[in-house]
Amino acid sequence: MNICRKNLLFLFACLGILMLPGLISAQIKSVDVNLQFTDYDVMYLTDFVNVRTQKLNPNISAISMDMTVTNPAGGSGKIYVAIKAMIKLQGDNSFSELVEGRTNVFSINGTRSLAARDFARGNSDIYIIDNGYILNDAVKTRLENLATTITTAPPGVYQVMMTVYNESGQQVGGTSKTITVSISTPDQVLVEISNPANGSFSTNLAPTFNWTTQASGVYVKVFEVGANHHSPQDALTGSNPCLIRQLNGVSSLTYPSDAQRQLQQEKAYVLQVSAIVTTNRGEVDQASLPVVFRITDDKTGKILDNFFSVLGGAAGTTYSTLRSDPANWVVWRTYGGITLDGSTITETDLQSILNALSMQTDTKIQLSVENQ
Amino acid sequence: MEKKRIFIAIFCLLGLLMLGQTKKNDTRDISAYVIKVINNVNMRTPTTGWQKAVPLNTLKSGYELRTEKGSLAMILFADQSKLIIREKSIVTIKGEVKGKEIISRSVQMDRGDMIFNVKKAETEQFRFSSPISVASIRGTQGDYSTGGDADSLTIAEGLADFSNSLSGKRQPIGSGQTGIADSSGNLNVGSAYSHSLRRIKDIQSEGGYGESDTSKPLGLLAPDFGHLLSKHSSNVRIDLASMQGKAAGVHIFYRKQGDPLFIDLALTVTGQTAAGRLPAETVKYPRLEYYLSIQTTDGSTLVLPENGTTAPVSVAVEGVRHELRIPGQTGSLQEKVVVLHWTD
Repeated sequence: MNICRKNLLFLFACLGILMLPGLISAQIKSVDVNLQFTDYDVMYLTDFVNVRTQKLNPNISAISMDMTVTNPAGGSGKIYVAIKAMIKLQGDNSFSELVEGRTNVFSINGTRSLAARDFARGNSDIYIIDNGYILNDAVKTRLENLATTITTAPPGVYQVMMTVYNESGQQVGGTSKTITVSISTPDQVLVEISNPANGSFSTNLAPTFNWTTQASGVYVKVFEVGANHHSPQDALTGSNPCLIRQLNGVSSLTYPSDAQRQLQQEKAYVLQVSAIVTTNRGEVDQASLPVVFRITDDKTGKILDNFFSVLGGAAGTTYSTLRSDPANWVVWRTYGGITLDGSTITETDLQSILNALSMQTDTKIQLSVENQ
Repeated sequence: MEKKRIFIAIFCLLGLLMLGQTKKNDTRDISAYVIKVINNVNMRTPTTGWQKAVPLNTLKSGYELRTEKGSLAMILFADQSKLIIREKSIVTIKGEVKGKEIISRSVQMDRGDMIFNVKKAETEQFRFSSPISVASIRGTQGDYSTGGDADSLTIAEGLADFSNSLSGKRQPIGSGQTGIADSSGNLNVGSAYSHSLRRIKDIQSEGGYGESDTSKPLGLLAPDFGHLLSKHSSNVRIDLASMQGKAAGVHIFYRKQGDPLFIDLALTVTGQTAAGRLPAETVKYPRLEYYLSIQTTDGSTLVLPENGTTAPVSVAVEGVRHELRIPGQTGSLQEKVVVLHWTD
């Protein structure tokens, strides 16, 4: 008898020992889930979805899921994750389910991070099981059709929901992420400088720049025009900037006192504002058209304005056209001084000469404009 | 007794001599000047043969002037009375003056046509005569022509007495009338043709043959300015040799073409040259207009050309061309130079 009881106790002990690990690794009751997904302005779909398999691209690096067992804290166990993606494109009234599926049961020991490859059978430990994988063919077809014209995610709202279950099927955690895509390509982001006007001039050494754009972030750059620059592009590429400033959420900037270089009188500058467009492939700058502005008091120009407004005739018309938009001609001493019969004269001399000419009403004055 | 006769004879002789001297001192031959010559014009004195007439030739009493086909001469008297001797004419000037007063004055026209503009005088009557007729003019503009069987006198302004020398018939001719005196002794007066009246006016205003001759109207008296350059002073020189020492003073009146007022510059007469200097600020592009005023030794004043105050001679003034260059920049950073040109 005694031998049977011992055997039974020994058997229970063994069973108990065997059962002990089971008793010690208690069921996971809660998991903290954090879904990392970069908010890009533009997403290239083919980078996210494997077109052949129509499954998540295992190589995408923009997505990750971080899980931490919180009950029991740091506990271990087995869980699985259910994933659902919803989509509402521009023009849709409501969300449509795009895809739904779940992983196999896998182990978690305190914390675990899952990346795209983990969901695409890249890891033998975790994979999306075929059973229960649902793909909405209608939505899929719609996205496929859109993908034939653009390779980027069409504008709309995308929702991803991830729910964590323990091996008993109890929900122990979850999270969701909503991504709004407002543009489909970087080209759609425009930047327009409203102030200063191209070719304008003023005496203000701290002008205010204004622009409009859909992007939230911009680079504002100002370049000085050199004597050998014959176009705005020459200045943009051929000189060091006087100002580079990254701004977010604003549409104006007054030339700052801490710029790389301050503006100076009798100088020309080129302003360019670039919108920052984030994509999963990196940052793209969408630049505005360059705007030329000059710092000058235009004294000589005003002297000529007065003279030609009185003179009138063909000469007055030619000059008026030269001064107005889009030519916006100003006297520019960088190219040399004013000369009379080959000799340099001062502004005062010029005024005297033009005053004398004004009095000679029978003198014929011919005006021509030479391109250099 | 004999002493008395001798004394009386000497006294009479002295008286006669004095009378002659008094006459010499009181009157002298009238003078006129040829002020314009077009083409072939000749003159002769009572003691010389025919020779070419040139502007400023002096005509005294008894001098003849002859114009050939297509030619014309203009004669000016001290009182500014003017005769335009047209082609194929021969005229003889006669007359006397006392001091500055004209005692008598006449023009004998053997043949030809003459336009006249006679200044009104209180006492003197200017007489035109031909083999057929005599016209007494006092302050009148008109046309007198003779040749063949009839003479005509057309009056544009004023009044004249016209008589037929053969018959003695006499009639007044008023403004707008023409008198015809023929070799039969007839004298008829009627309305003048409008084209005749127009011709009298036109020839006077144009100064000759229907063309304004501003190129060389002064002939030998044309001033030498040298090279006229705008806003540069210039010497002016006039050769007075043709005046034969009769120029007492010379003024040049000049202005920029189109200006309202003339500038009076008195030239210095030295021998047979009159010279002066035009200040720089008065020499202006594009043309300079001028006329001369010559005071003669007998007190006359000649204006050349005779209508110079209203139709002066003009000469070119070279302008100085200027260029003003103003470099500038457009709003797209292009360099453009504004260039102004003008001449002054």
